[in-house]
Amino acid sequence: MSEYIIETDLINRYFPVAGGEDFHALKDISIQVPALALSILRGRSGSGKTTLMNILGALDKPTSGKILFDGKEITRLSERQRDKLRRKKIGFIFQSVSLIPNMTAYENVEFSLRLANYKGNKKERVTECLKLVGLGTRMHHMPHELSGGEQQRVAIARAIAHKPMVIFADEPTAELDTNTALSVMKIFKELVATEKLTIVMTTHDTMLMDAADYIFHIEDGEIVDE
Amino acid sequence: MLRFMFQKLMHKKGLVFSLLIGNILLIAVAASHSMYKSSSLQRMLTDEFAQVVEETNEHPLMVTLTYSVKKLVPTTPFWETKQLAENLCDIFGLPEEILVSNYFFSGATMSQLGRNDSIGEKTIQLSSLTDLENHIEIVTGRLYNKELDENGCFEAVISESALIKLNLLVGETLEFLQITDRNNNPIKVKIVGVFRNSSDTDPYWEKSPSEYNIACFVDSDLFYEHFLKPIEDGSESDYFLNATWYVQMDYRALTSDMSDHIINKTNELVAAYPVTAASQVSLEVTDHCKILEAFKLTETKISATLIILEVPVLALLCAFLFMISTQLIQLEENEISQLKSRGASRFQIFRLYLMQSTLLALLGIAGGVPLGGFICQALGSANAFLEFVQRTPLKIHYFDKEVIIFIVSAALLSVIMTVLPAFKHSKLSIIDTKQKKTRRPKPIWQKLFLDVIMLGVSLYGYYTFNKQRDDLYLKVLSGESMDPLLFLSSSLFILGLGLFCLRIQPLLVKLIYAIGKKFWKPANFASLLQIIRTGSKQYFIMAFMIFTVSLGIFFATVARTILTNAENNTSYALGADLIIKEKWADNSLLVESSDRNMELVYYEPDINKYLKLPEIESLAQVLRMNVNFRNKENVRTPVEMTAINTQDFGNTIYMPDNLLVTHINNYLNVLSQSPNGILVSENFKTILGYNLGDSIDISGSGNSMRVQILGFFDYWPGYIPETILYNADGSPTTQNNFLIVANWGTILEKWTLAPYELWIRTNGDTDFIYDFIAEDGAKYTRFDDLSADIVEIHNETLFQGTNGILTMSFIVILILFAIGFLIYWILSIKSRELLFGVLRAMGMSRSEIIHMLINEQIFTGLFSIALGCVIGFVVSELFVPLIQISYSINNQVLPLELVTSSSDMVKLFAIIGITLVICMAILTRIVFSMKITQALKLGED
Repeated sequence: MSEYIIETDLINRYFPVAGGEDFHALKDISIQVPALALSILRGRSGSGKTTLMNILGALDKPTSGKILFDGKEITRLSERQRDKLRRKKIGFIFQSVSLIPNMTAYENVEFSLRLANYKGNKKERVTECLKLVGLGTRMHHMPHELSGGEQQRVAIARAIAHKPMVIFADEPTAELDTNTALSVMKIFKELVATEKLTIVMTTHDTMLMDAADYIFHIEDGEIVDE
Repeated sequence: MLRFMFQKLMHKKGLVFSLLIGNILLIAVAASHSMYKSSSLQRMLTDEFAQVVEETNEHPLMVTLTYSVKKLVPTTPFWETKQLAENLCDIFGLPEEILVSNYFFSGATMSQLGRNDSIGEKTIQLSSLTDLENHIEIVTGRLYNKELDENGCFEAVISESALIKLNLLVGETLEFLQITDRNNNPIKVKIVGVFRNSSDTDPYWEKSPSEYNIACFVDSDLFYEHFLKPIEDGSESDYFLNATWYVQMDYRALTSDMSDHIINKTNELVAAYPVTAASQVSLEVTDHCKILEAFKLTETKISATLIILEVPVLALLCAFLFMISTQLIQLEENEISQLKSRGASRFQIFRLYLMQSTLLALLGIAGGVPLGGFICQALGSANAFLEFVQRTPLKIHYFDKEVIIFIVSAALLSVIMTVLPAFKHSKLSIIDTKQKKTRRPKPIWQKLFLDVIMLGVSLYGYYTFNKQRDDLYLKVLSGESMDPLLFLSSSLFILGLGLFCLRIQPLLVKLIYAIGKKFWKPANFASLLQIIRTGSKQYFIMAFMIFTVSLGIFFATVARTILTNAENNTSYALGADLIIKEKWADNSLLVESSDRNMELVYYEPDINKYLKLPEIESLAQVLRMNVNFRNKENVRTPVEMTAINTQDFGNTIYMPDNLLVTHINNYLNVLSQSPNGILVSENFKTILGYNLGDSIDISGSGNSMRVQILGFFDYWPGYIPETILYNADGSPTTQNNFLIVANWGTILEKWTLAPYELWIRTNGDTDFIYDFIAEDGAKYTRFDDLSADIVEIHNETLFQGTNGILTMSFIVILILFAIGFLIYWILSIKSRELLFGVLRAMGMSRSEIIHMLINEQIFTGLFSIALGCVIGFVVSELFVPLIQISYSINNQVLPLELVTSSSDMVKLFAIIGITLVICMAILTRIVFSMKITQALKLGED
């Protein structure tokens, strides 16, 4: 494994605007995301951090530029190959509730194992992950029976269950109170250490910056500070 | 607020469009029902009256008012009577067709001037008939002038019969001795011409010219001037004036809602002016009340049947509106709660939706009324289920009182159905909304066991009606309509059983989920859990689908069965395509006039003329005769016997294959091999106690022979085992009919040839026979054309209306099914876009998402459709035989067979299939055009 899990080379992303000039969301972004570390994409809302993260996570394609994920170029992958990449090597955590509403916490986690075609003992792994995020006792609750923080922890468990290489978390703490947010950050730090993975998250909350190993500061679609 | 409403409407085009379609259909169905009812009943009423005209050649709606001088002091003054005559049409509320006023002086003795006749004085009536000039032609002489001639004489014309009876000559002058003018001089009348009626069919001549055989007619204006005006202004008393007014009213303007009024008025008038020897003013009427009474009975029956048939589809339309409106409001939940949080009162929100619903209802009226008119015409030309023919268009009264009531009620119903969900939601604030999204209570019908109750009630209904089958049949024959509860039971059954199965559906899905829990692919896993956990949300659409599909099948079966059953019974009761019996020449005149005991001899017409017709495929001679035999108790029993030539008969008859134990040809073969053998109806065994091989001695027309029973039959072409007769008190009794079938050759050896029937199988069309008869000139004592009988069934308002309404309902059901299904699924996908975004982010491919949706379709959509089919067939099996009773025709003999047309089912399933394919295509498009990143943004609100 190389030192950098993701490397980008002059990524540009334009969004078509109805009846106007295309919006230039990302401008010549070239960054290297270090492996096995917690990196934060920092910026105000509208700065382009989510767009960048979607591209890094193979949810979106750049208009121009190249991305190397684990040393392989992913910009030219087909839809199917990218689906597979996400399924196997990436985990996502989103700002708001992103759990599947009609599955229990346990099933949500198990589902990601099914998707990744996880070969090991699923039950063990699900329990392990839920315990890791501190939800060992509430595994069989439906999402609406859990608090916002608990839901987000299930989302984390789900994101890590299939042992991805990278976790992308888009504003994972935005809807949580400070204490819960800090505990989520704590979990993140532990995960990087215990699960041997890389976490990339976006946030605009300056309080959380201390937890980061690396920070990419993005403003108006440009990296201003690394 | 108004702008907000319009923006809102524009924003949800699909749903609003569906609501509009629902509204238009609801109003069109309601309007067309009442339009069709009034116009078809109108047509029926007019036809009834026209038929009387055709059959009797008399005006069917006429009042004859007579004023006669019988007392010195009149009880009703002449003038009042005249006014009554002139107002009769207004009293009845009908336009006047013809008002003939006939005034005459009775018993006025006249003497002929210039003739010294031996008869001397004769009685002649000085008369006038209004508008006479336009209804006569002059045979000799000329028409009267409108003024007195130079000698002060009235000019008059007389009828041909009066000319003969009174022995008068044209040009003669008569002097009336008892009638004088103002100066007390006798009135003189000069005969100037002789007339006859200008047309034989002129309704003016209610009393024909030949009946005016002692009348001379002067110009009616002149008569008025000289004799009536003085009475009117009071300067003269009324001489010996008589009058008869013939008031013919235009029955074509008679509307069905007037029947009560007409009957009441007629009865009042008849009671007020009875025809007795002493009456001065008497009033006679035509038999129109009888026609109207009969019509009212049919009207009640038809109205009841039509409304009963329409209720399920109206209910379905309401459910549809409710469903779409609920969907719309669910989409607007956030907006509603935002409005509330900004201070809008519950009333304001409610008013917003009320305005919206009213607007849609008004648009519905605008579109629904013309569509209703169109549907009404389609109903009027319904020939069978999903089949239309060209007929004279119905006259539609768009603004009939009843039509307007139906339209307005439908519009109100629509407003209620669309506002109801808003009423529920206007209570919620933003916090409630968020809370509610997470709760999923058990549906109310499950809690209250409504499904079990409905099923129980409907089965009880089924049980009771089934027990009373025979009573039902008799009631129908005496003119009653279908019991509304019966049809309601069938709808309840569908709904009850459907909902009951919906209780079971989650268990089934859970079972499937449990079976493969370990190895389900992610798509199966996700979709099964989706169905299990959100089941109750889908109940409405599932119940809706079950109801539409089964109702569609049920309606198709009802329509096909009742019509086919009526057709089959008619065909069976007749027995062949054509049955004719020529009037044979005979020596009856000779027999009557002869003293000796002369035998009646018939001269058989040549039947080869029929065999030459290429359209006739086969022809059988059938001799029907009445014979007697002594039964086992030695009682003389009259029975009918038919003699047939077995081969011809077998080739010609109409006989459904499965009626007899074995094919009828086998019976005929047995008969043909034994000259003295007979086939007899089953009641020879069951009632008279005969067995196979028994011999009986039959006699009739002075001959007798011994025959042996070769077989028994339950059914025989044209044979009706039991006839229901009504006693004087109206109670029904059953008469058993016995039938013997014998060999033609054997019978003809013993009995003299008598006029026989010709049973004919044609190549399909019977028009040729009418052409043939017109050319040949033969007279018939029996002429039955099966195709004409069948056309008559199709034209009967009850059958036509039933077929029309069931067809319309079927089409509406299909439309609702398609729209309801599409809307539900599109919304279901749209509301889950975020979820799909998450799933896609987790690496689920598009095809897996579609796989998931297909699974959901199978377990909810296909499951409902399959269940709908099963329930549709079950409900048909149970209830169609009972419903069919309401359409019984008098000769119901054949066992009822449920009829489903494969073409109906093909249409039904084609629509369902197309809907599913379109639905899947749209869903696939939505899934493929969905951008993961955008879908995920939805979650950030």
